[in-house]
Amino acid sequence: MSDIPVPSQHEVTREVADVPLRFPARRAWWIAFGIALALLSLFVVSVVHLLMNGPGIWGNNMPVNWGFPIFVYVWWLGLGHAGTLISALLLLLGQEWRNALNRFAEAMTLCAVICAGIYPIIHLGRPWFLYWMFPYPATMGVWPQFRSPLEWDIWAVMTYLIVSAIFWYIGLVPDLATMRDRARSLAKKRIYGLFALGWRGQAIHWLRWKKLYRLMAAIAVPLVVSVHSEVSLLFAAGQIPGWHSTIYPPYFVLGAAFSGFAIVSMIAIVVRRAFHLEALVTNRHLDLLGKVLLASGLMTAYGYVFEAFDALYSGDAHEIGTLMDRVGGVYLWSYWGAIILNFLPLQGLWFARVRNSPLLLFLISASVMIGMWMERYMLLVTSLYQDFLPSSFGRYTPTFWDWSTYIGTLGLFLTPFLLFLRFIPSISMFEEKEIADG
Amino acid sequence: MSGGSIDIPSMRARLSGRKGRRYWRAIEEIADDPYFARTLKSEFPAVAQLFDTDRRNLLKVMAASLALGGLAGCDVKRSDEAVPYVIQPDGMMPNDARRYATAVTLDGWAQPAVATCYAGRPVRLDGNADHPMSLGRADMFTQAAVLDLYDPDRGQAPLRAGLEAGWPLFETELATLRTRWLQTGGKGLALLCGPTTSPTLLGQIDALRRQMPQARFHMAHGPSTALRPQATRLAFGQLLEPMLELGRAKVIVSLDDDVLGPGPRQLRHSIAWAAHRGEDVAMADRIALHVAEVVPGHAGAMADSRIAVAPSRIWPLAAAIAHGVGVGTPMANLSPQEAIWVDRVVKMLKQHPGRSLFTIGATHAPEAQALGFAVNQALGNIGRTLWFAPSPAQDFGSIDDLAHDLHAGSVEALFILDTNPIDEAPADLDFAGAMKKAAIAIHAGSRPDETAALCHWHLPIRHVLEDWGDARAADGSVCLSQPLVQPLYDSRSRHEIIALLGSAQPLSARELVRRQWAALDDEQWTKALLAGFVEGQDWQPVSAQPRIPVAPPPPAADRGVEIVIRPDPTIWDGSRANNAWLQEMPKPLFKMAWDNIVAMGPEMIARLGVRDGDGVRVSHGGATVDGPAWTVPGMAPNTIALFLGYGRSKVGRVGDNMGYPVAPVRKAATPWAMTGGGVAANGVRHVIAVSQLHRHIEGDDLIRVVDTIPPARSRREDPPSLYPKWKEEGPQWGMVIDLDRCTGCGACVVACTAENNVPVVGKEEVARGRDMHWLRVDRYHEGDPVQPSLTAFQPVPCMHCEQAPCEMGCPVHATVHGPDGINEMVYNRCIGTRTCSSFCPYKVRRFNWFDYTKGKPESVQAQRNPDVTVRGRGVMEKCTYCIQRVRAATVAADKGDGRIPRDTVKTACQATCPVDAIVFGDLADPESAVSRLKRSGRNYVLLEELGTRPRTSYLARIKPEDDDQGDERA
Repeated sequence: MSDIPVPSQHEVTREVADVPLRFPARRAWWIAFGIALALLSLFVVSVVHLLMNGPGIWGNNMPVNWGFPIFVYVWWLGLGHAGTLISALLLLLGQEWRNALNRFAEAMTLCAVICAGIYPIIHLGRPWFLYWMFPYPATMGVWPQFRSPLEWDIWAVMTYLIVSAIFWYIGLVPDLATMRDRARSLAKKRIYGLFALGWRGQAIHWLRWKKLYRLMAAIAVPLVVSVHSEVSLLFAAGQIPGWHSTIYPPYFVLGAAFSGFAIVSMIAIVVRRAFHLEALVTNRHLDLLGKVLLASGLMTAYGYVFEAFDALYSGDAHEIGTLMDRVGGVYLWSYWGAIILNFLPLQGLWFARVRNSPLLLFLISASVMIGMWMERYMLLVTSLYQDFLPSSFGRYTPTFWDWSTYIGTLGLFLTPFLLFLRFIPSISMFEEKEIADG
Repeated sequence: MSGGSIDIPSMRARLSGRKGRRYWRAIEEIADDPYFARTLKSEFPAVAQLFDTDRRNLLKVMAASLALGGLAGCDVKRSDEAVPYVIQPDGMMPNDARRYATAVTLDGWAQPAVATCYAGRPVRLDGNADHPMSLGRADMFTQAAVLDLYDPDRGQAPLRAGLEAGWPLFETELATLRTRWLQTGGKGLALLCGPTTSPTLLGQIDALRRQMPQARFHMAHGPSTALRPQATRLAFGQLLEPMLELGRAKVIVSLDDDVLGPGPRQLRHSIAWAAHRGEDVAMADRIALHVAEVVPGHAGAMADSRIAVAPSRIWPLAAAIAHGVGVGTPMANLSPQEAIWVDRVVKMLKQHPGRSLFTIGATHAPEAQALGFAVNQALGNIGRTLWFAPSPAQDFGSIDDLAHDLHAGSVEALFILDTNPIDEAPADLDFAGAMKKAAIAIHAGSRPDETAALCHWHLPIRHVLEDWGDARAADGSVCLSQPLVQPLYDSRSRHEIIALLGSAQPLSARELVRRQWAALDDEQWTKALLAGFVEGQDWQPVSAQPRIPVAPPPPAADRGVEIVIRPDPTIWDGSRANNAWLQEMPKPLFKMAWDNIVAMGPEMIARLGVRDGDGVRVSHGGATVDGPAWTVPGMAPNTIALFLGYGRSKVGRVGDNMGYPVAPVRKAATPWAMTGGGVAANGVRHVIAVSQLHRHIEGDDLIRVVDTIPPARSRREDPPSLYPKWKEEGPQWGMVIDLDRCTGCGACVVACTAENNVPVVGKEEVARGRDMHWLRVDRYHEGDPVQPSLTAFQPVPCMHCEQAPCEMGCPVHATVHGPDGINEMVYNRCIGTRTCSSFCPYKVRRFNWFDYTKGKPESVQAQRNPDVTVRGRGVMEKCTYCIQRVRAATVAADKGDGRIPRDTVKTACQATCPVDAIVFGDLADPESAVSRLKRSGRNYVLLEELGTRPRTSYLARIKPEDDDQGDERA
């Protein structure tokens, strides 16, 4: 990727390392952090209210007994996809342009997976018994039920979270050492030093590091596919029309990647503007992100087409009924909202001018984020509210607490992410240097 | 609202454009209108609601349902001398269930029952298997009556001017009155009692009548009696009780008499009717039922032919049928549709003289009813399918007479026993104003209600489970009730209170009842108490000849909408309004709960430009009531129905301020049907607790109908499955539900609620789609949206699938497959992922969204079934096939040879089902009743194509043989 203009090694270190050490946008950061904390408090209040009273505070009912907690979980987990995909897959494929993006993409992944991971827990009727889903040596000899897609889900998400965290941290070690060396106060030196694990930049360090990093990347890549495939089985394993389809795993993975690239684009645009890193995250990067976004979007669109085709081709009255509910039912806004927001603005990305415009790319990505949210809503609610027996058909109306919990998770996402931006090099310095002239 | 009106032609077009059987549950489904989307769109509840008014409401409801508040300090004991055992006798297990025969009443009629008591607490009521009318079955009112015992809003002590006062003070005040009455022969005393058939009470009143010849005695009639007294007086010159023998008839023609509908006779009629339907009954032996009805009812749903007629058409139809069978009335003008129907039923009636039955609803004009008796006379049915019993109301004045006397000032002292005229009497009687003219008014009743509030005294009477008593069942037999528990409150027996009117030292209730049956020796008496009824004391037929000709009723003042007034399907005349089980029970044909509605046909809904739940103002003769409009397919044209029992202000915490009162528009002259009414939208929007938005599915086969009984066959091939079959050991439990028998009465739902401690969640939660009933009765219509050609009921418990999607979904083994085929729910293991319910194709699972049961005083547990876990928050629950009964039978069998005797385990729904539609048993035993039915050619399972292999299956409904009316009905 020699066509990407890269700054000199010195510039990289200065530009990136200066961000945590001499934070350039203190005021903006504090405002953002204040908002994030406010949202986080909303989340805490919502969860406390939930734990005091029970899941009845939400709009869930019979038949829509999964609601916001589950589809928002899927949405967050989808966002969390791009981090690992960009870092690990592109690393293995030698796409070096990813070196400008991988650090914050991975951090975003971690934060999103935290938001995602907390939802299935609080959505439980009795969250304090969550540990029953783990295969611990219970005195009663009861094991989890391994046929359940929820059980696979726990494994998939936990594995993904752990591997993503390790991968991110390993990638961070050399830069933490740089931070340690450049930090002025003793406290910062000590803290960065602690986490730098005694990194001295010896050749043997690099050798071992490279092996480990590549190994972790190789482990992480299949997880990208497995975790969202698994999430899709949460739905596809049930017999509910609109869920019970083999297209679900790839459909979910592609949708996840799509929404993930959208949020990476948004963060890249914000970060480079806020921290004046235009030299590192260049228009060329945006152009590439735009292309990837377009490609994954088109693949997701293929999923939409095939989902509808599947239902029609099956000739199954229930499947067709659910398709009709989606395109013309009470919640048709979620179906058409998803189609319009996901795919209409996306077509602008065929044009280089649009891809190179941070504002337009940002707006298209934001549209995709909302569109994918609607898609998750649509996939869950429009399948459940009218399944088989007309007598059990119902309606779903989210309550204040559904929204407050959801908006609260934005705080849960932003708070750690802002702390990351503040204290940790948000762009991988040494990797960026690798592709610099050295 | 005008923009949201529905378009019937387009609905019909939509329906006709589809192939296969089409079911629909609500008009909106066919209308496919975005209106509902709009109304249901999410709104942010105010922050004020954060801490949940709903929950408070819910707790209120729960508290009332299950005893409580003031009760916490009371002991609930069996009324025997309570002496604790020092040494427990051999074989006596304090927690074993004990069963006592007793009877509860509806409209004064006995419902034979057996009460199950644990540790001296009556926990549930079932039918009395020894009683020939009940055969162990019970209707929903009987099932729910146990809850009234624990009602915290019952009268707890005598009230004088609304303040607590002791019985001694009442006795002192009464003594003065009694002395005067005994001197004057009771001049100025008027007694009004609720409907009763109690020989003891009637005997006591007779005695009073002899003691005080100047006193006046009145009886208020329940909705099941309605205008029968007037009709029989017109026809026979005396008050008689018509007794229908459905089982002896080959053809039944009903003019708006819902013989299978709710009421004191539902059980008797349903059992007799169902005995001629089902698997082993030849087509020729089935009873043909032809119904012309105003409001769709259970009889209409099960009828071989049905037409919807306005109430003003009942007389012309009766006259035409009378003409047809040769009674000699002039022929009336009929519409073409009516004429076809009348021709058909007249032909059938004439084919079966002496084996036919013609009946007209008790709420219709006495003249029409009298003509009906003449028709039966002409057909030779009297004494065969119809006989007459002496009416208990024979020597009583009516409530209209009483109001007249009160207004005239001739009543000084008014004594009201167990009735609520302020709430129930038509407004034009001005009963409240009339009562003020009495110098003293005394109310003895179960609760300090609207009438009690206007009386000087309120005297709490005992619940039937706390009291001695007797009453006649709908077959004329005498049932006894005996106290099973110490009175919870400072109440007295109604018999003792009546006795107090005539004597300062009255006998006890037990002595009074015993004295009534003094003819029995002690052995016979004990036997009668054990059995719950007195043998050999049944009513004997009165020979009676109806007068002919019958003059037509006065012509109706026409123009305008016709209004009929009906008892509520679940809370009856309001006497059950504080019973949360009955409030939460969806009205069988309307599928909404916790409210009364203004029922009208789709055409009128369209004409008014309203939607279900939009407020309408009903006016008649200057009076108005406001209530929510509700579409009822199959309603008579240009007719609306109002339902009693709601709009209460002093019934208690459950029933207060629900729905609208009907009394304001009722007229004493025409209390049940009025012409010349008006109805108009009033712009109010009501929240109705219903899960109503159901849609037909193309090509779906939920309710199967067969032309004739197909030949039996062996069990069909199971659809393929990836999973291996579960290991099957011992008995294999399964269930069959016969749709040809199910009349949709709903007794099974209340029985399930009582047996399984199913929580009541309240109106708001039901409106959110969170009702907790383990067993629901789905109602489907087929055909024309205005006059459906088929109305079918389908009870849906858990299907207990052999390849259950729920079991596969649960991550923690909380729902597992038992070796006996029961899909078990392990509450303690459930963490509430709700995957099981998401994956359940039948949506029979229920979730504890809140803690629906916790936080009650200790006494709440008095009603709960100790054999069933009370579920906490965040736990899934569902039908278990009454696993506690299965396990109890297994334990009992293990003491013997380990085999459970054939067909001895009955689920609660099965045991109570009046029509034997639900059969449960062991599929591994090829000779069990359930195995035999599974081999029926009518047997099918829901959603077979999913491969879930349900253990619960259905028997297809059988189409009436002569179905030539199908097309004309459209």
